Amino acid sequence: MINPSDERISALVDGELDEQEHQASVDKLLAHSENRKAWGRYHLIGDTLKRSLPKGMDHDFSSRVMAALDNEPTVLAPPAPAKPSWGQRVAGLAVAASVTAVAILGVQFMYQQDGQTLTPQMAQTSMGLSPTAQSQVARVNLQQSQPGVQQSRVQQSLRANMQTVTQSSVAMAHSPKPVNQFHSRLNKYLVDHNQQAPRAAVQGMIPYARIVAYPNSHRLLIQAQK
Amino acid sequence: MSSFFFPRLLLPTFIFATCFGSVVQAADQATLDVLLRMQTASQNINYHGTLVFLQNGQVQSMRVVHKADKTGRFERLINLNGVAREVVRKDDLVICYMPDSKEVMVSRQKFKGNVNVLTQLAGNDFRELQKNYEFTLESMERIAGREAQRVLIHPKDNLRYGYRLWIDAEKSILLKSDLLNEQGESLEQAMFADIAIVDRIPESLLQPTSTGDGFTWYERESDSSKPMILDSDWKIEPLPKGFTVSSRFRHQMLGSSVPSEHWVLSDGLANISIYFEELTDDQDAFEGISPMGVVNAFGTINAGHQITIIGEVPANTVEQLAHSVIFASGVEE
Repeated sequence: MINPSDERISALVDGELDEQEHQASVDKLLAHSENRKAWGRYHLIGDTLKRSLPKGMDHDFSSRVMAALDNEPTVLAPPAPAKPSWGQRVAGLAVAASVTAVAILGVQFMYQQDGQTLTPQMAQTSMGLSPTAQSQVARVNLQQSQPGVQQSRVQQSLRANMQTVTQSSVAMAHSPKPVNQFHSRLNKYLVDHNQQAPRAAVQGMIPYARIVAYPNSHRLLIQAQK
Repeated sequence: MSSFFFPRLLLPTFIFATCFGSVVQAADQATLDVLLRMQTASQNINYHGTLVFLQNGQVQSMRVVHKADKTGRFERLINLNGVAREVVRKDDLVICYMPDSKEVMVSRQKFKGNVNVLTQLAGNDFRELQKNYEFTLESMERIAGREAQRVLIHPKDNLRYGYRLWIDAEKSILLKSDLLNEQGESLEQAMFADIAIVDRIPESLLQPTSTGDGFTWYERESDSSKPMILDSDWKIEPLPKGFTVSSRFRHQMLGSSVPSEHWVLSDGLANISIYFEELTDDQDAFEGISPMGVVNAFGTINAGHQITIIGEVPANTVEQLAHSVIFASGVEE
């Protein structure tokens, strides 16, 4: 049903494809009526969750969203676009693409049998940590108490993360970089808090689901814009 | 099952408490039983499935594997869309793989094994919880092809969120969970789209997909071996209604070289973390509110410290807390 591999869709979502590739992939994704229907089904699932079922099924949802996106202000600016108008167009498409990609993957996985998405690995330790990984833990720990090259690198990245954040979400939307770094730092608090949450009994593993689901920074930008 | 049909919703709890005390007790007991069965199920039932997670209009789906037997409790969650963030847990050890930032965070929960709040609820603690939440057994509903009992946990003020839980009628597994605001509107939903309850979970299903090779690893030292802080330079007055300080530890924030204090406040269901970190010259502070889905964070500066308050509570609760933090070094109480 879709030509691009999962990696390509993932890259599209993450904005890692170049502009030309972007354009081609988005065109390809939305050109297939199957994909557009899949998107429609996906939104039906989302609506069901939100208990806001439409009176009738709307298979043409995707084209209406695309039309709406054309009129949306740009949220994500690609780095230094040569032509602003072209950049805006690409950014709009990137948003559409990520929505589409999530939609299609979401529908696929819902019907996937167990095990297909999992990569079994050799059980080297009880937690499946590779020896290299374990030594990395040890190394980071060691170097936190003994100044060294790696520690300074870690500290540098931490310093980079210490960014002043304004309360204004509008300001956040206009300065993507600080939000990115802010995201990285808050991420650590979020993970630490949710990892430590000892009394999450009533919601079971949901705190972990929050870690897994915490939107990446460009999603944050979109939310900030709303 | 009379409690199902008792018009409890129509009357305030206190009227029941005064006039129909024994009836309330029976209804509460039925609700509590359902919750306790759910708790037990999480300790001895194996399952795997696809969890759909809806937050801020974004839908994500994740693969969930849960194994619980006498060897321990194991969980693995991996995002199926976009970046394959992954959480792997074995008892109190929690490892998070973040391919987006090329980081791995290793942490140990403070409370080991099967300690949980609900098993302690059977006694007076449930009464304590009822000061802040109202518990109601609702109707049955079908989720992921299974019959589920709905339970509503409604907050009595706007300082905390509520929950609506769908608990499997046969196996008592949590099939769906909504986080609700005071108006009862859904803020976040997690629901199994499909679930398989199995006798055993193959080891391969619990192995992380990521090896973490080439990632930066952060490990939070275990708090469980450390004593709680008895004397702190900090005070929080007043605490938000219904919350108490459930733990205070000194530790280093993941990846940070600056020592900090970490307090956890709890009302029995909701948790709030407060981090106190000394600000150094080369650090910029961060101040203000930042919503991360249903989790709200608030940053503030006080007495040369960066204070970060984060929890799955409304924004006004973390903000109010920020104003209640007092630096009390050397000050007599």
